[in-house]
Amino acid sequence: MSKSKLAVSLFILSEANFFALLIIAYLYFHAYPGEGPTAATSLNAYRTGIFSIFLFASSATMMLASRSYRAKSSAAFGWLIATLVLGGIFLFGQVREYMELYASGVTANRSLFATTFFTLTGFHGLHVAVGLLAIAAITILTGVGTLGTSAREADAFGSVEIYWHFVDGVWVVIFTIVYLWAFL
Amino acid sequence: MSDIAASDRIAELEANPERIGFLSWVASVDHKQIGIMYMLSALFFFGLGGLEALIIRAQLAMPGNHIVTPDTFNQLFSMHGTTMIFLVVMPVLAGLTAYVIPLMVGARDVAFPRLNAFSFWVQLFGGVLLYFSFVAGGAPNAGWFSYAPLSEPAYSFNNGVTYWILGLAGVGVGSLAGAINMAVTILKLRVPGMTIRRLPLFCWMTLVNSFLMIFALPVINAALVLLLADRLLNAHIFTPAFGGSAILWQHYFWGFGHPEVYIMILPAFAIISEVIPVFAGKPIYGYEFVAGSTVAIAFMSFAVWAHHMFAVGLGHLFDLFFGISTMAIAVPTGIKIFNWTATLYQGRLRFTTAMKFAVAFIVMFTIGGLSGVSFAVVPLDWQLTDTYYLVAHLHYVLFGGAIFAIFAGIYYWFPKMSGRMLDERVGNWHFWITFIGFNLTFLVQHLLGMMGMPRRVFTYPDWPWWMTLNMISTIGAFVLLISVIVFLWNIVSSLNHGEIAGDNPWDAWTLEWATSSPPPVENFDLVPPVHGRRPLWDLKHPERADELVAAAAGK
Amino acid sequence: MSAAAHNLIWAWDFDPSIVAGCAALLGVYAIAHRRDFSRAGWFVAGVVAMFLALVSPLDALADTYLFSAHMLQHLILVLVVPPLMILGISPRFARIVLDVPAFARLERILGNGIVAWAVGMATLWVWHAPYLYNATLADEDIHIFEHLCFLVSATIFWWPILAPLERSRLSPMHAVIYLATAAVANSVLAILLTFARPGLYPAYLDPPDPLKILPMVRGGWGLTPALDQQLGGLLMWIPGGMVFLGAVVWVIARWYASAEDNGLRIAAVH
Repeated sequence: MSKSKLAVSLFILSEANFFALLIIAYLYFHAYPGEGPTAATSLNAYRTGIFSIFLFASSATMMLASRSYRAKSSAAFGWLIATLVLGGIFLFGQVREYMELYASGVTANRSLFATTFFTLTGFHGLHVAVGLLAIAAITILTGVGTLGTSAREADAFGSVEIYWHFVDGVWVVIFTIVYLWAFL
Repeated sequence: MSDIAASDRIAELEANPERIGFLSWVASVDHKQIGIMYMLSALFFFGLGGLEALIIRAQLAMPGNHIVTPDTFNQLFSMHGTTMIFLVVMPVLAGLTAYVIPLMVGARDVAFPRLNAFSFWVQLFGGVLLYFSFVAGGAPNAGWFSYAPLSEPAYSFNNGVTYWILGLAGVGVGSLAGAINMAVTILKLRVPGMTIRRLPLFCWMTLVNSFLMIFALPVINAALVLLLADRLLNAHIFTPAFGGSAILWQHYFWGFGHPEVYIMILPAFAIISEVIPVFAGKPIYGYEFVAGSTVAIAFMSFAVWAHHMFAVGLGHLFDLFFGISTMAIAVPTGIKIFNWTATLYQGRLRFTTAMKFAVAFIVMFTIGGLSGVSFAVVPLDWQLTDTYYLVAHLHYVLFGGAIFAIFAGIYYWFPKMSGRMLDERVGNWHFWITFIGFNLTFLVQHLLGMMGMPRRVFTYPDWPWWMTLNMISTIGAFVLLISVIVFLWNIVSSLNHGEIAGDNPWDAWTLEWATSSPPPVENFDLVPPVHGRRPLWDLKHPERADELVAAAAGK
Repeated sequence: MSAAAHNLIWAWDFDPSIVAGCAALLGVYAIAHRRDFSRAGWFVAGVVAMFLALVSPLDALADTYLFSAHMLQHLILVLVVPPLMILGISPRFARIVLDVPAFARLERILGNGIVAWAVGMATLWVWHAPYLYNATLADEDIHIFEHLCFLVSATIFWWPILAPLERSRLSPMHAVIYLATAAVANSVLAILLTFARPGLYPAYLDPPDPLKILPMVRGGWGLTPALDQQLGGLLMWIPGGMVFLGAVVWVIARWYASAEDNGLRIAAVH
């Protein structure tokens, strides 16, 4: 493994623990909810589920982008754009969800569910946004043709890819726990 | 691209051999300069944290004293603890590591030089932010572990705890980036021939410690984020009155806090494992066990945190399990103590100042370790927790342990960093004053704790012996002040007039001693071949190189 | 001896499927290792541990009375039995099996570190979801299926660590990370169980009492439902974690004993 990929993997190991801790806080107050809105009363699992599909699809397009890039195919640029769009749609869905929750009075201080929910999904959203910035950077470099295929450049591409799959994988866990579990 | 920029920078520095300009330090991505800046920042905060300790001791010298108000006292001990842990011990170890590791593995720099600079500056600004709280309405006053709900806005209404959160987040991010950097450096940049099993123990333990940080730091970051939500967004995660859980904070904090103890002590072990063999004139006894037990310690450090919470009332079962796991973690630590003493046994000992600090470390740390094991006995813990016995224990671990090891490391590597030797005669004075001052300050605190004096009280009644013992402790603290002045004098005068060190003044055998002192920007002209664990020894004694000796012993 | 203690001690249930299953395992082992019984001790110990976990009074306690007993049973099935059985397999036999292309392909897929880790940990987590766990308590067939899942997934999990052939195993560094992260996943689940609201698995709140031992369990041993659930979580957390630690130490010890990458001995040759 190259040194940049190794560094990103170690970073991901750390981030996975960070999310695990936020998930534990969420689950703890899922078991001891207290007063105020809960997941079951405030979330719309169907709509978030649909937006989630866009995020999961973006992992697939990222994989295709990486494959085209390694094959030195110009299709890489298109797949990167697709990844950006899909990730952007997910983020848009999250913003919309937040705005609706806000409009219906579910804010971070309303209940323990709300605090842990916004902390957990908010940090995930932040990670998505950072990932999109990184992808945008390699998209632009690919678009203007400055991203070559030397080992170091391929590592940069690969590192972004690893990070993006991680962000996606975390959402599988969060979506299952926060949205699906609430209705089981 | 960063590599190109870094090499431009290096070329530029080569053109200016003095490397003394302000900008050449601030803009530096050279691991040696960053390492030194880490250590200087730690020294600065060591002064501040020490000053706070002296005011605390002056206040406690006599019963009924009124040098400071109770609220100031709370701020002082909170800042003292936070400073010493996050702004002194961690950065100075990070600095030593950043300086030594690339040299030890025969690399030109760390894996990511710019990330290294980022780590340093982020942690420095974390510290500055923490101290900015003094002028922004008051320093944090809820102790270094900021127990909720005391740290909640309802009880801590100045912004101190908020600054504490932000400052620690800065230190946390910097340390994490540093840990990743060191792990990658050790795993990827070793010279050919240096397999993992030939890695110097300093690198071994730094590697394990990096993984410890990678796993432990996100725990405090998550807790800080949640506390920040409580403080700034009026949430109630940690306020029981609104359905939150104060104990959750304790679990989170100690889930980080106990590994943190090992984050501070593993690098100290690492220093000792280099210093002792060199000055005992023989290879470390049981290299494999020293390395392997480090992994076991790192692993177990995550399974013992609730022993900080025996007094909470989590239930007998809980106490039972964590009491046992706490006793168990003493085993791998004991293995190390055994290995160091066995290395000393029948060695040709050279009692340099570094060696004196290293040997004192073994004794002081063993005392601290044993008082630590006594806390694993739950009823004893109920009696002694949050008394001065605990204060004594943690200082034996962190001062008698970590700081003594750091002094050993500084005396050992200072010649490499500066090109000049620290004065041994002044060093001898420094050692003995530190040793006496330290034990004067903290040994009596065991007794105070057993007599029932609680920690964190701003004053106490005039009960038999309390004043005498507290006075001894305060005198000890001022002896320590003298020792620090002696140390600083030694550094300043040796930098100007010290004996020229040469490449390898200690006759040591790891790669950093194969280059000039101080090393050139690119570290090595030529890295010597590595066929064993002691490359320079092998060069010097080709006829009895390590591998031949070991092979003969094994057959 | 009280009547309750007597009832419990004699509550052995030699379920024919278990007796037959264990006998079959031993038989297959004996045939496969005809000439080489040097490692048989490990394998037999594994089968005996499994047999005891499933037929002894522990099983009676686990099925009806105590979550903590059930946890202990699962820990044996996941952390004790598969490692012992894998250690019992001789390299010669492993080589014969893995020379069959189909098995080799299967091993390449399941023996991948990430796959094996995910299979092992996911199985552990999924079966502790209250909905599924309660189903196993209500229906014996599902329960048997659960135990089989544990045994198979744990065998997959431990294979990359303990496999008889060097080439099937992870490198020491990867193995330590593999085990450390698994211990984290195991601990997080255990922590959730320890701190969960009592009655996560309601069958243990007010069990039927076929053996007439409930007063002894609740009164004599002091295991209230809340305490019982906490004990279960703690067993998984601390002793369970210690098994992972033991495996880490094992990996390191084996690495030290191995000749390759041993800087000292290789260098001595030239």
